[in-house]
Amino acid sequence: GQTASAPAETKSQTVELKLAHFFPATHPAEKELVQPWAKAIDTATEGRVKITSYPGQTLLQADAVYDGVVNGIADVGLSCFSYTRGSFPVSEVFELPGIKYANSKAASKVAWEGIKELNPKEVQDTKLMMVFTTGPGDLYTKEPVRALKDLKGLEIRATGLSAKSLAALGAMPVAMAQSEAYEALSKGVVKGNLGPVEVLQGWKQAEVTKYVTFSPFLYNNLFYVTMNLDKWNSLDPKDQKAIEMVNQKFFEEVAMGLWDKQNESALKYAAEKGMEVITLSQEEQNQWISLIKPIQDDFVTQMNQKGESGQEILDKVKNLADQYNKEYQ
Amino acid sequence: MSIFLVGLIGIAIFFGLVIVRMPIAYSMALVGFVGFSYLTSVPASLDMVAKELYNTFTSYSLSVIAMFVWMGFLAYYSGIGTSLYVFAYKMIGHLPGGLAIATQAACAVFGAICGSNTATAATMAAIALPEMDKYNYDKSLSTASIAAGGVLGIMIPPSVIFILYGTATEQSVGTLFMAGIVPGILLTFLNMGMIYLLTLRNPSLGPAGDKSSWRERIQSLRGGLGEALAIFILSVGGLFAGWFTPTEAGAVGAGGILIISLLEKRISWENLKKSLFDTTRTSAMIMLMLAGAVMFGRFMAISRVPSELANWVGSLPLPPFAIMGMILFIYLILGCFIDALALILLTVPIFFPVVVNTLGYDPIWFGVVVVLVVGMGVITPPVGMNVYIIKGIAPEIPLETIFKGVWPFLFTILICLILLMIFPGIATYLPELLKGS
Amino acid sequence: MKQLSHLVKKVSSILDRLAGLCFFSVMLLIVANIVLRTVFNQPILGTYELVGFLTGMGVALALAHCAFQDGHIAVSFIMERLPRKTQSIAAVLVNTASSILWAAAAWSLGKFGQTMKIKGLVSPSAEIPVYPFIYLVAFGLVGLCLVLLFKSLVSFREVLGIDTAKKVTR
Ligand code: NA
Ligand code: NA
Repeated sequence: GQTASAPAETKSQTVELKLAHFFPATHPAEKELVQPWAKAIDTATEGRVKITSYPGQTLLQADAVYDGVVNGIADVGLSCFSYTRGSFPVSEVFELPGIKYANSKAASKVAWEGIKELNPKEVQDTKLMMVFTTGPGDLYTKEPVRALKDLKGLEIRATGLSAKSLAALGAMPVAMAQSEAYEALSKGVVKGNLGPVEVLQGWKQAEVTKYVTFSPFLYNNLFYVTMNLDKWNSLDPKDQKAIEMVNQKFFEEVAMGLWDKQNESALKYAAEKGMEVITLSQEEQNQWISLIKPIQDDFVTQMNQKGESGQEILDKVKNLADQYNKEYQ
Repeated sequence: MSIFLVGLIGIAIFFGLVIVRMPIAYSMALVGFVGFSYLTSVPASLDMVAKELYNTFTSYSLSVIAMFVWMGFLAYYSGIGTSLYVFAYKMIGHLPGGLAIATQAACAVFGAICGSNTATAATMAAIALPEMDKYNYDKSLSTASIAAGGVLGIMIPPSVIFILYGTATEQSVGTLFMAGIVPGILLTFLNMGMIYLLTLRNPSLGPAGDKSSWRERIQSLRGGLGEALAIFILSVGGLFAGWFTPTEAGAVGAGGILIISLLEKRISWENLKKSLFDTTRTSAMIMLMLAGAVMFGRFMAISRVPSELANWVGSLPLPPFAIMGMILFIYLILGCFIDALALILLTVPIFFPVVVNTLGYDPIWFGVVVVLVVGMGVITPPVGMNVYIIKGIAPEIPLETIFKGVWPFLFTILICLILLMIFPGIATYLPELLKGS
Repeated sequence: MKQLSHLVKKVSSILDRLAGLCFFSVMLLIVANIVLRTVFNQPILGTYELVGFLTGMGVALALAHCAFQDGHIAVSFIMERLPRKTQSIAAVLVNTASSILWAAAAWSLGKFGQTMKIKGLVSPSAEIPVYPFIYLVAFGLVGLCLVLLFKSLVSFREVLGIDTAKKVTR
């Protein structure tokens, strides 16, 4: 270990924590959330807890973050549950298609309150600091998608649950990394992408697509910030309390709306690039939602097989969604 | 002991291991593992090693390397590679260094299909080395010029390095690709000029042959040039038509050559197996080395050697061009030890704000500059991925022979860098032109 | 000793053959997927993930044979200037240290595989269980370890003067 250094009395008070995540160092997740949050914790604990961020996968690959925190490679980690499918079966409920979210604020609130209430076993081996989401994702395409028939056979980049939803809607999901999507869109290997519109600006995909179809029931992606349990338990209770306060504040004021802010700016950018925005009629939306209903049923069945009450979990999330969609219009 | 010092000691131990003939891949992995253990804990480090091995080996984007390597060996064993070189020799074999010059052109053309420096170097080495050997080219020149030609793979679009840079800095990948074209062609010509000068001074490096008649030249068109052209058109055409992605292009190339070779009975069952086993050996070597480089990079990241160096330079009270010069120097030093992808991830987020926001340089221009300095890194000892790959394909050639031949090409990259500093338009003109229209 | 040498060669080349098969399948899978996607509008679900799995298997299974052929690049020009005995001693140490490293890595991968088996980790789209592939990578590293231990043994016999190979095994 790294104990050989410095005078013991002065250092023993300070806990230094390594935080691993995959966002580039220039991303708002680092600049507006991680950095200010780490600073606030430093202040709140009077310098006893210091967090160093390792962005851009320099410490851990995106899909190795959760286990890396469990095993102590990093002390704190920020990543997506969906990168390790199967490891977080209950939490998948928050990403199920067919549940409508008004924005990232509502979706984040549903996820965080929901996880606290459900307290699934899969996340009990670390100390969750917060969970937030991208909120609804939209379709951005090279050809207009105004109705179900326009989706038929259309190649769209997607993986995991979104790939299932798109297949259910008759589209043709093609898996590839987000970093490959720009090239693939520009050459037409895929004709569209599904995700938070932030990607249009962040990955400049507005340059290679022409239409945005709002689909607020088709996609949601959860991020977690979590801490190694032993490290957490080793902290002074008063520091733990201080950190919990900071977490709550940063969840409310920064994290839950982080993607709304980016999406808003990306939509402006997309408009400048001449993209057309398409809103589906209520009738059309209902038709889409009914087609992806079987994916929710699958979830319930799988939960039941694992001995959890799938329907109860699903209903709880739907109720929370109704409640917070109203609250955060 | 400060963690920074631990990082430096790690580099020293790495040198020691390399000197006692531990394979480079193992040395990087061992230092990465021990160093990471020291700065975190042994269980954490064991976990890191397991994940990096698994993630590197099963990475979809790295699968392209194996496919391009196989494509190269298939081209060699089927004789399609030979036919290209017979043609090139008839055309410009009478010039000193003619075949090495032609190889640069081939690297540039191949760079338009392949986005990776390692895959470009491996494929071209498999095709070109045996051919240049036949015409008694000096091994130092033939290997080093392919190592340098591999850099064209990331300068000419598509390019994984531009994608990574664009991702880390939120720049348009399309614009970066545009910006790489002219510097890529410039570097190709600079390398060609360097080869010409080297062989002019010392003709034994690339002996000039007799001038061929146009009749002979036209005859040489037959051997398999049409096949090579067909594969090229299929690959580039398919990329532009949107049939497949650059990552899939390797498999298309390998499959294309295989089908043509089987149809024309160009390849025996024995040679087909050979091509495949050369591919397994080369891929295992490259991928273990990449995994080792990632582990070493993880250790470097938590030792904070790269970031402290970067922060220090950014804070110096010097005029912009001097700071820029320092940054390039740091890239050159770090590039000696850290592989291309890790180098970008570790340094670009730190240097980018300094270069673009503080010093006011163009972000697209800086992207091209970064690719050039990374290009230097992949051919400099002790961690020079392109050089090791060529060594893996031609095991009988001593490493120092290749590294010795590399110096002139470091110089051409440097010239290209200086030209870019004086005339930023080399990178920025084409994207602006296309944006304006 | 000769029999052992044959055995190691045989085992590593069998693994290498399997590796070749993996790379061959990668090519077939990617090409088939492109054709089905562009011509028939019917891509193969999970190609992206399968290509990763197959490549990983290919690389892992080829490691041992690559090491057997001295395919993992090393810098030898400094050692070559030293006396043969020193070279052999260094080779024993290097190969032993390396095999410990990769054995530790294989063990750690085994543990990782076991954890992922319990957690039920699957690939994102095709939902293929991931743990068998983690075990396979571990298996490939075990093969690499065996080759390295064999090489240590060869060098050790050279140190003792039992064998004298034409070239110092590294
Ligand atoms: Na390229
Ligand atoms: Na280097």
